[in-house]
Amino acid sequence: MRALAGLLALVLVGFPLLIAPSELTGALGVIAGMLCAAGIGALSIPLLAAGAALSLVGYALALWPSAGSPDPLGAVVLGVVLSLLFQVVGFAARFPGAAVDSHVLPGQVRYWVASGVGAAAVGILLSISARGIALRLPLPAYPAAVALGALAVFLGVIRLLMRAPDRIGPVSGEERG
Amino acid sequence: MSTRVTRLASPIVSLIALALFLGVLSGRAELFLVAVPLLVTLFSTALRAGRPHYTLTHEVSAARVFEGDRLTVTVTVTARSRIPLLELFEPLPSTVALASGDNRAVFTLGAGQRLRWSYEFRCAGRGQFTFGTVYARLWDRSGLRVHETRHLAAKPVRVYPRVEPLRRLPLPRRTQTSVGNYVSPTFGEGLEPGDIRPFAPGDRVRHVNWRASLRLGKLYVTQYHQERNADVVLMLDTLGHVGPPSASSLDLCARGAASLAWAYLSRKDRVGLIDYGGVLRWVKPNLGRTQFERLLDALLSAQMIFTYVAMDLTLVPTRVLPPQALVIALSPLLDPRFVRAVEDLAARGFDVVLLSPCPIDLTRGSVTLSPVDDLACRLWTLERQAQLAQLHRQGLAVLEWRPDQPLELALAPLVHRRRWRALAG
Repeated sequence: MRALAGLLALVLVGFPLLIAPSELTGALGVIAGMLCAAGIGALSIPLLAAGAALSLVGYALALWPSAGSPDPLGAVVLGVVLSLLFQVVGFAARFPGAAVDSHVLPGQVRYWVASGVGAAAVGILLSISARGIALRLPLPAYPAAVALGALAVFLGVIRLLMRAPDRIGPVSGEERG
Repeated sequence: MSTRVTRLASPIVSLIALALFLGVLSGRAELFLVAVPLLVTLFSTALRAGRPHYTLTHEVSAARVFEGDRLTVTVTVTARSRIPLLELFEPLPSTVALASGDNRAVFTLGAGQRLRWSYEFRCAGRGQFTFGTVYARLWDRSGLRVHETRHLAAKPVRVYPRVEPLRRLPLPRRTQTSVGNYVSPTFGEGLEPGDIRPFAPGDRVRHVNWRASLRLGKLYVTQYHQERNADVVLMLDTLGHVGPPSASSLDLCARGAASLAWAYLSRKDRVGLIDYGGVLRWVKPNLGRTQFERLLDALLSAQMIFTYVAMDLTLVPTRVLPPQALVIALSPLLDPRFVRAVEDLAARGFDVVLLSPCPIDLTRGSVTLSPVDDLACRLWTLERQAQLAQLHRQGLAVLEWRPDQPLELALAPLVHRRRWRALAG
């Protein structure tokens, strides 16, 4: 599980360097790589999040000077890698010392593959549809579209969090039987 | 059952926000697209809101066991709907050690599938425990959402002190009036031939010793020794104890008391128990298997209760501490109040045997000793030797019991001494 996470982290950290290898992105990549490695080694989500955030900053810095056409496929792949990395490390950190049934891991891998493919498909579809919208929308409507999208995202997140309040503690419910 | 979003969601939301922020800042569409798979994961979790349904039953293989015995826990889960990840956990008490399997496990169940999860544990220490509390977590595949519940099906389990088989026991100096296994010095009805005496009117013909009668030319009868039982009172010191949990001096004493009780009860003796500690408790002497279970129950609940009050043994009723009873005191001799109580019993004419598990060995075995601790233990050994010698001089039968030694070996010196005395007497 750690090897898979390491591979995903390598892709995440190495991607900005492939786009624009520079001293800054290199330095950020090294720090991000170290944080990711520490996060994977200790199965610590906060460390991993710090590493992933630095990688994202590195990616943004790598994209900044380039004036070429956007690369939606690379971005979607990076997003999928990021999502899978958290899921894989989260899974490994979730059951320390527990006996995991032999059917669990194959099912989980199938889910990761399916969810990765699904997320990538949604991302590509969105990028294609965005191109269509971009052709039709007038320039002043862009901020409104961005604001609408951001609003939708945060409403979704709020809905998710409101439906299930985060209650820290080993047990919240109780059943007799 | 309650549902919550896990802590994994917060870094994902933060990264989405960061990607969007960087996208706006840099004006690059790629950074918005990076956030899309993360958003898809988040929303797919939010949309899969169905709560899995299942039934769970919990079984324990036995309700009453002895120390060292193994118990099997079987949990059966029947899924009514698909459960992607089911995590089950049953907390175990500290005196229980897993023998096989695991008390925490993760499974995947399809709709209608039935699962049997079992594990085995060894009961290392005595006590009364309640099993059957199973914590269940039903995880979403993404790990972002979890349903939590607790199943309560109380299964009380009693772990009694281990009983060691004892072939030879210290013989009581005095016997009682009921029929038992000890050959009494007094003559009467019995199986063990004693002396011969001239025939007297009223003697049974079958008691005539024909060989002696022919040799001496006069009728002689064989006298038989009566076979009697004894009263044995086990006195447990619960004023203080040392040693690690489930291997403390009190646990050793409880094991010793259970073994002695079983051995004496098997010989048709009446056995009682006095728990001499913060609270004075007792079980009056009696016979049989029911009495053994009564004694085991008392030993199960025997625990150290600290007190400054010295308990007076005159509080104990005579029926609990019958005259001429053999009193076997089990104590590590940590508290002088117990020593005084034992001396008091000996002074009152009771046949007292003091069986003392060595607290120094228990202390040495449970902690890593520094040179100063080692010196303290050596001084303690000298003090203890002096204390045991003094008790011996006062006429008490004192037996030292090393923790790694079988009880029979600890009892052996007294067994041999009393046997020789019985043969000589």
